Amino acid sequence: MKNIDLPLIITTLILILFGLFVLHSAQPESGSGEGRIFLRQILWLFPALLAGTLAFLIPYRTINTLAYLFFGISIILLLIPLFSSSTTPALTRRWINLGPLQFQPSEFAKVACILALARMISHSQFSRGSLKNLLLPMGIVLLPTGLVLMEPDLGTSFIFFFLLLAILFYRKIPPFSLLFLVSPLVSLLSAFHWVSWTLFILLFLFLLYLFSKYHPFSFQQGLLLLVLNCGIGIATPLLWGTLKEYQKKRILTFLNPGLDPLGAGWHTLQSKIAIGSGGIFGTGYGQGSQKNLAFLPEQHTDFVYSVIGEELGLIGCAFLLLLFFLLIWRGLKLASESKNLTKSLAAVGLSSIFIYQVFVNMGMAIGLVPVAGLPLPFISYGGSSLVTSTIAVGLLLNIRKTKYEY
Amino acid sequence: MDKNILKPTRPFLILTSLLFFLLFLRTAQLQVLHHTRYARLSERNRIKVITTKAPRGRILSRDGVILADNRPGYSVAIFPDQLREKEKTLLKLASILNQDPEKILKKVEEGVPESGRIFVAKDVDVREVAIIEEHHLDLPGVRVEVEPLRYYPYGSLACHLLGYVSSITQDEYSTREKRYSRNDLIGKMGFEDEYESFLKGEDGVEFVEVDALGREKETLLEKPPIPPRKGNDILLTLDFSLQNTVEEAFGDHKKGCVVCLNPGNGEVLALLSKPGFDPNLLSRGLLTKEIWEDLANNPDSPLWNRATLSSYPPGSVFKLVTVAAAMDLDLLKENPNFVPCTGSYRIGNRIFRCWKTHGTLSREQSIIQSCDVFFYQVGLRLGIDRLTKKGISYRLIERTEIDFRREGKGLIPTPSWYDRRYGKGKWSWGMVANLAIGQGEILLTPLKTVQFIAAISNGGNLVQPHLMKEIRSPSGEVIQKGSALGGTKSRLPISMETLTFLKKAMAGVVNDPKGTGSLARVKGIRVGGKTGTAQNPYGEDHALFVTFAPYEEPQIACVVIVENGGMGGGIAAPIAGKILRAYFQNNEKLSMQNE
Repeated sequence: MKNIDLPLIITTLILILFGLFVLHSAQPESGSGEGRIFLRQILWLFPALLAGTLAFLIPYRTINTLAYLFFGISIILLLIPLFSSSTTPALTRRWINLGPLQFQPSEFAKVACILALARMISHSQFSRGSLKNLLLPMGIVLLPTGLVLMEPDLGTSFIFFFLLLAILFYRKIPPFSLLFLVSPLVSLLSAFHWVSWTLFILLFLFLLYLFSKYHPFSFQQGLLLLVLNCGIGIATPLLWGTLKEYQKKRILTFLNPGLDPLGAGWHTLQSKIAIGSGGIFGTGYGQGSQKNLAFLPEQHTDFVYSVIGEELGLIGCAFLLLLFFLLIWRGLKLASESKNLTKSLAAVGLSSIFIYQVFVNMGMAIGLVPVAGLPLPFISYGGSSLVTSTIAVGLLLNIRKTKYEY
Repeated sequence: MDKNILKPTRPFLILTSLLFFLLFLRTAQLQVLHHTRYARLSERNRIKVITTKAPRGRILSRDGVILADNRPGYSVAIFPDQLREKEKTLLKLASILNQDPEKILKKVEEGVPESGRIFVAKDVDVREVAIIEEHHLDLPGVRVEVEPLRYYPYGSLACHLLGYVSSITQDEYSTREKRYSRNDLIGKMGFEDEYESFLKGEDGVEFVEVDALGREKETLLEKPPIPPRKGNDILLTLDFSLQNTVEEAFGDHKKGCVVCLNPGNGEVLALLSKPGFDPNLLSRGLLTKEIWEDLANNPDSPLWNRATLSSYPPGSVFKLVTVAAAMDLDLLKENPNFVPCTGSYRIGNRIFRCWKTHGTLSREQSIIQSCDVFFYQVGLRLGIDRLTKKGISYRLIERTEIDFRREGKGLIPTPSWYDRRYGKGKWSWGMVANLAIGQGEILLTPLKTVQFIAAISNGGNLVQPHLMKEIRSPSGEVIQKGSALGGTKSRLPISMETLTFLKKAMAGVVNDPKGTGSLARVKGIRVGGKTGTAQNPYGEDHALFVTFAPYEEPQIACVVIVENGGMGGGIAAPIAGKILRAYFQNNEKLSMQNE
């Protein structure tokens, strides 16, 4: 028993119970068969616990050997919904239909991607200083990112990049390499306004100067990155400008089909009203008026935090935040305690999933982050998310189980 | 293993703490600091979303005359969740609107609200609007909304081409993309339908805080209104004054159609189908049943666009095809040794008649005087196989692919068609005599006919007929150009020599003293034409006339068809004459103004 992280297990169990408790209230009024959401989630609990237990029991060495295979399978799974014909194209390509059950391959791809990255980056041949060495991990990340983007699911597609950064950072690769990975993306995003881009380029130059003093990199590399960023910064607005208004809109709605019909911000406003009206103690379990009037979109999936905020108030929210903090803290602790680099990296990656999803999902409900449908682990309705989350915890426990194994 | 690589996960913990602290602070800000405000918004006070309807794009003629426009219409909407004393309120509203209270109640109870409201009356009179506004305190939950309605300033002018709009049906609503709401108007016919996706605007929204009684308090600062976006304007290739002339020239004839084309690029300059209808009647928000049934059950099918959907027996117009086929196969010399026309011709034991006694004719005169006996013999010399093969190779029974999704198709009866129709060997090869003069089962569409005439006049180019000249965004930016649709699609497989002969013969039809089309003459302009009188099983002959002008550099090609009108030369040719005279007079005026 010594090798089992009891706090992690307890935290997870409380989260699962709390999730069911909230879902029972958040499920849409019965009718059109959706009223069975609570029951369906309970049914999903069995495969979830089974998968979690398996992830815990199978020796990590075996899992690590199979990491690339898992990754390959997850890529194939991601391809299936893209090629299967479906009646309502843009929205359902996230799903694979298995008769009565559906699952979202992008959820499993997250874990597979972490295992593959952990194995690759902990390899003895991986040299931290070399930029060339970053190409392969980049490829591992870009593949699922691209496929998920095509579904399209913007919120989930970013997570792969976030994972890579977290793992590389933990691996202590030179800051210049991190800059090399991050800055082109930031350049792209900031290029839509000249002020933000100027700020970006100034910051970039400052960092370049700073790094050159402490972590040397070659002049050519620095110049290459500068040229790349300037190129992106100049090309982006030019290319965007050549598009017609309706083309831009088409791209924006493609990237974010959740964009509400009443213009961006309507869902956020309704969610903020729900949370704000909850006050410190909430309106009471099952009593949310915003929720009952069905003003809230996707209240049992993406906007589940609004229901918690409305019905359970600040106390409920703080409790949930605390639970997630405990979960992440345990995960990170396992990462630092493990003596095996591969496992440490995997633990960091798994914890990062939780950091990212909790922040983006909750941030969206309170208007800190743009609307990008992403489930809240253990709480949001959805079997794939639940199974993936328990697998993640199972793997963390697995790492702890054998922490002295090299 | 390199132990230095491992470092405590402190940076990750710090990041997580920071992010979570941020989440907590923001949640607390909403739930503690702004609690009263959000609680108020969520309790009895609600946010009302008001859609501001976007005007549809306009449809204009090539010279900028607005043919389909928008006008403000008043609609009465009910917000069911703000209705108080439902029966009493609705009764009062019904008496103002002069409507059956039962009907209104039914609408409110069975209707599906669109952004919280149900429309009970559309295009309401201004006086009734004034009364409702006056009593608005007694009518909680009732609201008058202004929305753009469709308006066609020239009534039935070019009605088949413009089409009309009407409320979206349940079927259309569920199959269309998301940007429609339940009470939207949608194009149902003609350009309104074909170019719906361009004409449709994007509705705007306003967010208003309302109090417990449903009265508007203030617009929300957090959510500025989204202004509606007007639809795109469409410029047609249609020439407004020519269209007017065409409608006038067609006069009192009840049924038929006219298409005028620019033979250089395929632009449709005028398009008429008779009888027509007034799209204004169909485009009122709530179409009445009587008007609809009146139009739909009319035996003359006023909603049917004859110019694009119908096909007619071409009559003697088809002689142009027959002669071209024979000449290109080298079967018809300048002066063939044919039996002179004595008013009839015997094939087997059947007598085929001519409409006149023509005597011996040259190849050219046979067209000018439209001698049937001459063409019976051309037909026999060709044989049905070669004649129909040639006709099909001229692409006469393909669709022109004008910018209307639905287009009629012609028919050239080939031997295998006859076999299928009557059984092998159960029909006579003498059918070719009839076919050679364009009678019998053969059918051509007006569009295909005019395209063929345009090709004769322009040296053999089959130009693509089209009606869209330009699509302009509300800011005036040109989104699409019709010239992309137009231009030469393919060449007519007829030799240049034959084409020149056909063109010259057509000029003779109008200008030769013996020509059948003399009533289409225009002073100072050399006009080409061909008459056609098509027998049909449904009564009086159809009168046809095809024409182009001027001979030297053709600017216009037309087909005129008067159903059950009688002789082509006597009925259809004068209509074409009127059209051409007005067209060239007008152009002269314009060029004089320009100088």
